[in-house]
Amino acid sequence: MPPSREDAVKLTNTSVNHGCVDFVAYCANLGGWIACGWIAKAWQDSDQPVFCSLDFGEHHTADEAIICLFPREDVDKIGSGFLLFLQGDGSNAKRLLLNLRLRSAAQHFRLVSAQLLERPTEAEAVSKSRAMLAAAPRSRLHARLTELLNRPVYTGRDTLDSLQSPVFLEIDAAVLCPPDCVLLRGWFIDPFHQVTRLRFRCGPNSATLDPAHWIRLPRADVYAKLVQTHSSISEQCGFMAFAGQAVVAGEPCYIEIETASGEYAFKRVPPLRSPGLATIKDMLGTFDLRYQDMVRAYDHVVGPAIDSLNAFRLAQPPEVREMQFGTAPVRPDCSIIIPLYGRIDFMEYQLAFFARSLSRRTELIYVLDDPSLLRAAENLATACLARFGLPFRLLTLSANVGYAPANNIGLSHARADNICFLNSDVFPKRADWLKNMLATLGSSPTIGMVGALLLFEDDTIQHEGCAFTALAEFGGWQFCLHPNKGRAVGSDERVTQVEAVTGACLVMRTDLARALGGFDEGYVIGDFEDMDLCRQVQARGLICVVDRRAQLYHLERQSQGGQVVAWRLNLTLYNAWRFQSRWPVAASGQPWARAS
Amino acid sequence: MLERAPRGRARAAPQQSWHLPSVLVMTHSHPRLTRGGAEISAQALFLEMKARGAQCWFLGCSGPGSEQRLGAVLTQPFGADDYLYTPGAAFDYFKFANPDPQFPAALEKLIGELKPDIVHAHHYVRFGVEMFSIIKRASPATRIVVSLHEYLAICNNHGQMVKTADHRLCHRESFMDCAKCFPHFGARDFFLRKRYIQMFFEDVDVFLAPSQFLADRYLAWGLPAAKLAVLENMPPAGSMPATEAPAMTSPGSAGKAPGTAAGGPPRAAAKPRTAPDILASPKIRRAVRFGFFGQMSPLKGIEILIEAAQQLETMDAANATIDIFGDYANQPVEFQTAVVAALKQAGSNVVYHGPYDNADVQRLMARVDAVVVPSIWWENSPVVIQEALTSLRPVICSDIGGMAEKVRPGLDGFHFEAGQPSSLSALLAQLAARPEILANMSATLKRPVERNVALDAHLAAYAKLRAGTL
Repeated sequence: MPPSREDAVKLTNTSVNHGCVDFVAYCANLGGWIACGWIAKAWQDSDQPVFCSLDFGEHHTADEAIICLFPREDVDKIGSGFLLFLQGDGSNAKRLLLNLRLRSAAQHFRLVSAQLLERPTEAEAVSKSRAMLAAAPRSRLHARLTELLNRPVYTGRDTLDSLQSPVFLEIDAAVLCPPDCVLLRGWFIDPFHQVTRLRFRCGPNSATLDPAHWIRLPRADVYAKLVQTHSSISEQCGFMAFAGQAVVAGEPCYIEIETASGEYAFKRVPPLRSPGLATIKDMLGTFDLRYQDMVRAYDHVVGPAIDSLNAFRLAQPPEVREMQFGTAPVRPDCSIIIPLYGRIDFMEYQLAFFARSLSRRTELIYVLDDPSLLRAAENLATACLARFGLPFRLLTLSANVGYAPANNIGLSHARADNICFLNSDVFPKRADWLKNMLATLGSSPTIGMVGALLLFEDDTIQHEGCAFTALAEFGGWQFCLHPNKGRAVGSDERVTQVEAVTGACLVMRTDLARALGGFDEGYVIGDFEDMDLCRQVQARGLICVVDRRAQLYHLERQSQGGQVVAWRLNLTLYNAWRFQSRWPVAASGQPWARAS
Repeated sequence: MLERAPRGRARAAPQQSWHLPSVLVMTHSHPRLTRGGAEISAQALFLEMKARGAQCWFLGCSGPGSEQRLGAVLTQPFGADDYLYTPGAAFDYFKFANPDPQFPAALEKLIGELKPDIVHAHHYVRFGVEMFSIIKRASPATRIVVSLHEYLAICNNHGQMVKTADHRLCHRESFMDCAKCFPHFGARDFFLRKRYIQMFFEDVDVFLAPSQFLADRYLAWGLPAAKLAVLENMPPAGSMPATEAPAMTSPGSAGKAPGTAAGGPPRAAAKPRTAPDILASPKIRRAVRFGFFGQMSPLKGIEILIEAAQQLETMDAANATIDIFGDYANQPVEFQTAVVAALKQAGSNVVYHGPYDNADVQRLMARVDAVVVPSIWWENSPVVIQEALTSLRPVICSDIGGMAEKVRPGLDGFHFEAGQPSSLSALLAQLAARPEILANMSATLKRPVERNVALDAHLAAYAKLRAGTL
């Protein structure tokens, strides 16, 4: 058991020198550190656990250690030689060791590094250590160290065939999740349940692969081939796994398999694939999970993988080009931000309708989040200005970034005191929609956000605020349901408080939106970021309302479902998982407080 | 210049004295380029207005593929009061939007220069529905009149309101049904289309429908009744009421002449004609000739007619012939093949004369006893019916749409069940057996409105519009 933080501090604070470290080396193959030197005679071997801390200044590596003593002529009067193994990662492998501290039940020893501290290679360290052990007295600890040092070393070859009991492992794909994580997909069969540990290794780094945290995938092809000889196997032998902080650039990657009988084998991992949106889609299209399987999968695999992939995707902000069509209003009272993707003809419809419904003090900002449509959008924008005469700005992005970043870019260019986030597939039914929303926003300082009454094309309700419900089928996570969706509108035109409003059409103050950082860009492509923004607004003590006088049509996309769009559904579920992580429902059942 | 009306033309009725507004007539093509119904009606209006002494201009449009002179959006190749728009971008036929960025400024400039009292648009195709807003922007006092042709705003299937899969009649638009006919558009696209078109229609002051049937369709679609009026289109320029009898032929003398051009070179306007003289002599009773005139397309019902002719032969109605004047060269290849095969298999009672020049239509109609209009779609106000009545020929037509409205059964002709060859053949057999029915109909045929009278009706409409009493 590694020392507690308190113990580690105690170890660090010991000031007396009780010996010296002659060499230290990180041995990736062994999964830990070898250190050798001499220790004062006062140190007593015992059966008690020994904890060791390697002190690298601001960093340290600490864990339980195996220490073996042996006679050394040069320190015979004052101490003994020691050989020590400390399990841990090699993140400090390149740092300077200042001292080594040992603690057992009643002893705290501090050993300084020799002035000429050696840093042998892993192979040299192992060789030296074996030689020392050969001359050392036999003991239980001696046997443990010997076994450790005699462990096979990865040489680039697969060695599963060398195991006494058959174990089958194939890695079909490995995707780098920057900066140093990996997403693995493959299949694994252990017919005799002999495998005790699987570790992903790469250079000095390693990470344990726990099958309990994997996403299981069906592999009928593998099952068909092996079931004849191993009838106990399951068709769910495929897997997707995530290993964090495991990759070192330029180092070969492999899986280390340890069995109950103490054998070790290795399996090569294919070259890592580069990350990107295509990777996310590909991964998300491979599974179909519900209930608690989903929770486990997202907590251990999908969630961290997409976190990493998305952060990498957005690390390089796109270039933004700005084009003004017509003369912009001098002092706009509202900036409407509209991201465009795919259907740029929606811009044409909107501009035609807006020309008859918006005041000339409204600033329109379109954000083209689809570089492939740049020329078509420019041509269309030119034609729209000529036909409808309504000024607007077009921001074009050099890469597709998704809903949240595109809106945030628009937000950064807005000039009005009020902001309206609007989807491109929303079209006014009543000309006074924005006027009403702005009036409501300005009617009370407690109102942080105003939503609209959105309708389907048959004039039934599409959205008038959300209510959150936990869905057991989807991990018990909170989902935003639309009460009265599909119902007739009725004549009620009140302003009512709601749990959340949709980003398809919402109005808020620009300074508030900027203070909150706009939409959270950790959500991918589009979903839940508007709910998150609502929560942030509410966390400041403000409320969200819907103004039923503001009526627009929202021609939303068709509902998700079916294997054809499985990846999109699973992506929505990632966003739901993320939202749940950030805004868990309190035990009392009352909403939420922001997760720390 | 557009073709002028011939001098010395007799005017049958005294002219009304109307204040003559200045009118810009617009249509989606140009009569110098094509001869469709809309451009013919537009031309007729323009020429009559000019003949009456009104200040009148014409704005047409060149077709796809025509070259635009760089920077010259509107040109005047045909005369000082005649303009031609050459589109600079591919037209959006789905919602009738014109993406040509140069057109709005060019139109606005022209309207600003002309300041017409009335813009009368026969069509908004190629110009785009946005043109109504542009006109109002340039000249708020200008009144906009739109003559409706087909059901373009209602139906994406060429405005014909028939299903794309099987040509079944469509009775009402709905977003879901339209999406079924055009699967690559969704219901929401048709929703947007309708709102887009209707929004720009708000700038139109009055819509003129040539038939009550068409008007009723647009009312159901959502045009306000206060903006809808029924007024027949101007009769084609150069047409004269018929007074001569057709040439008589002895029985059996009609023979097949597939591919033969219908008549010789175009002649001057036909002399007045009289009703068919089928009963000239009971001893020399010739076959009753039924004629088809127009595009030989599936929607025009040519297959219905040929099948009816085949049924006539089995009924042993030897005294009935079918004369087909028309062209199928512009039809899809499959249909052309089907037509050729059907004509080959048709009996001796079918004579195919081939294409004809529109200027010859009265002369050719004079050779038949009745004109058959077997269209299977909701024809609005087919020019062929006007031409038949002008030629004093009864019309036998399908019992739907504007056709049924224009042809009073027993007075102007007869109806048969649309799309049913047996209904048509039974009717033709009856009429062939009793030729006096058609002969006597000349006394009851609705006389086509003369052009000056039609113009008076238009001017009355303009006056009421400007006075706010239409």
